[in-house]
Amino acid sequence: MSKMVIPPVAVGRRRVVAGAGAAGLASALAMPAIAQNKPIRMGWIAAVSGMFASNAQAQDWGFRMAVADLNEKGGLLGRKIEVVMRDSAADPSKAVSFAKELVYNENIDVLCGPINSGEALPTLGIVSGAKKLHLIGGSVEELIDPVKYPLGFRNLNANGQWIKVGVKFMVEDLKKTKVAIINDSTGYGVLSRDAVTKFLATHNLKPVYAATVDPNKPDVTDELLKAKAAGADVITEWSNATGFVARLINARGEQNWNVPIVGHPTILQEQVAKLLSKRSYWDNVYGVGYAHQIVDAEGKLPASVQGFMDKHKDSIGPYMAAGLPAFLQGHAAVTIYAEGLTKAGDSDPMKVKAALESIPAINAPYGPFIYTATDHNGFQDAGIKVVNANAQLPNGGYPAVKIG
Amino acid sequence: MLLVIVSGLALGGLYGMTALVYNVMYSTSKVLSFGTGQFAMVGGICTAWLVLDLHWPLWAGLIACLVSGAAFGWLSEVIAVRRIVAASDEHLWVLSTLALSTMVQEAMSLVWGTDPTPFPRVLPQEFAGIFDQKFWLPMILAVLMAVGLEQFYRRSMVGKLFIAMSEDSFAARARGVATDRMRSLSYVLAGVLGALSGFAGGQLTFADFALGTALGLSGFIALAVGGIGSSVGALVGGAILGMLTSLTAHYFGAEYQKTIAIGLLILLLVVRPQGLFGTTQVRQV
Repeated sequence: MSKMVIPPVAVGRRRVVAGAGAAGLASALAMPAIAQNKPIRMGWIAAVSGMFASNAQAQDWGFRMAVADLNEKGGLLGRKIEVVMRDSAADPSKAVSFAKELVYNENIDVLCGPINSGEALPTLGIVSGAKKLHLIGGSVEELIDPVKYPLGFRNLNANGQWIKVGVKFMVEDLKKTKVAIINDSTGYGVLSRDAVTKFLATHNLKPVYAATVDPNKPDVTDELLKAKAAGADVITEWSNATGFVARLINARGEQNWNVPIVGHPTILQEQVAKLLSKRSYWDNVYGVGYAHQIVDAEGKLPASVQGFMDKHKDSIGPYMAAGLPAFLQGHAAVTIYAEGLTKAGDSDPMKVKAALESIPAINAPYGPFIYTATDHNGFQDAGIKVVNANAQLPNGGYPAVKIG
Repeated sequence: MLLVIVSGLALGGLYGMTALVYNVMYSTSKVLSFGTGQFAMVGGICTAWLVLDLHWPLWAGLIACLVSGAAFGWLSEVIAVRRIVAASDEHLWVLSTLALSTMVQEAMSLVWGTDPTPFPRVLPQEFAGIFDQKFWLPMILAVLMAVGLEQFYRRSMVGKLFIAMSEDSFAARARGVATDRMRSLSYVLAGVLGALSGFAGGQLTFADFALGTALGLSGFIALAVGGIGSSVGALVGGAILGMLTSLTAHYFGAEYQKTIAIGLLILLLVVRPQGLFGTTQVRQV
């Protein structure tokens, strides 16, 4: 057996420098072609296990289906999209470490998520510091600040929008003026109570009763009777604890007091209905939902929503229980980035930012988003509609509320 | 106002039962297990799942609830107590029982989800105000549990062995008592009683994976107020805590509920550290 012997070659310093220079030049010349083939990497943090798992799993499904649809059409700017996903398990410390990993080690082009406010808040500085585009999935007002976090854009409504629309519904549609606020004692509940009070003031109203209640309190009849004694003609609740919301509705039913309850979207969840002593207790209950859930006279959802659901009907089953807004929110994160990237023609975050701020309206199935240089909230009030909790149709939609 | 009192007493019943469960385990092991509240959580979720999802009859659901409690109690002793207590005089059981409690809670949430689920009505009764079963079931069962345990300690051989071990475990062993077996038995009994408390309070609390932690803390406060080792103390401590919680929320609002209720209890413990019905142990030196 012969063996090829390569004679040793003396390599001088000049030769090394020249070689390195040539290689660098060659790679620089080749870069545009490589960049064109390089996939778009979308970082995605969602708490698909832990406390908010069912909602997050539906968002995750919507996100992945939106990416699959784009890849089916050839990707974005001729590049395929890759999802780099991390499960934060509803733990803010995990969300922070995953955000660091994704923006610094995984070379992502955009970070979507975390998808709840408590996890998103501590990641803002990290993503902003790494100068990455950030699509933020929390509703708390403080998450969006175009001066401090210029690359951060919200891909759902802000909490204040829900409350503003809810208060308007109570005062202008239901014609109620004696409002009782019953919120849970979490930070979210207390902030929401203050927001309700503020929006009531714009209608020259003050709450007749306000109670902040431990969400694990097993019985809220006492608070309900106090609201009744104060002369309330409508109750508004702000909590995302299904047990607390169900106890409130049960207490109202048990006291045979058919006063309307208007509240947070949690009140619309089937999980709340399961905890009710009687399903009929859900009748005079309203929650803030979305225009994308409102069906036409024939019971049909908006075409863009129905089209997405029809296309993915084989895998949508397990995610319907979380409701349309959950998976459409995941879808919206992808749609918003895709529109910005396509208009920018380049994945440079500053160029995508400028593009998002200049697009007249991004019409995602979730709802319309309009971003400007000074407002990165985007979602329009018109996309929010109050719906009757006990009127949900099998397709996940609701008929428009008719008063009287 | 009557509703506030009844609701407070119902809560007190739940806290009292949890305090009784602490007592049963403490008697044989001198361990205040962090997993105590989880017995109720496991029992409640098992019953709700079997009866409402799998459509078992309620009596079968109750038996399964008690069996699940017994199994969890026995496993607690085997995994988190037996070797730890044998190997060290330090209070390492704090860590082991806390670890087991956390693992069980997470496992339950992974399998059954984090949202509370409904609990079946035990008796066919329409909502009946202050006479509703969701209020009186925890109250009555708490009293029955305390009376039953007292009879058990006084009249049965096993109960007397529990008392002997609580007074001096080494002496009991020297007199031929199988202390390891007795300790296991006490944890099985504690698991059964804890699961029963979850069954009794299920209509108030729903079947909720987060119940155990809150109940464990409240039960511990009730135990400290009533005095460790006393069944009457556990009941009275539970009732005081339940009433304080309910009345504070009524008069001052829920924002101050925990601070005022627990603050008053701390004050009581400063005045009487051994609790209302506890006894101070005198050690000769």
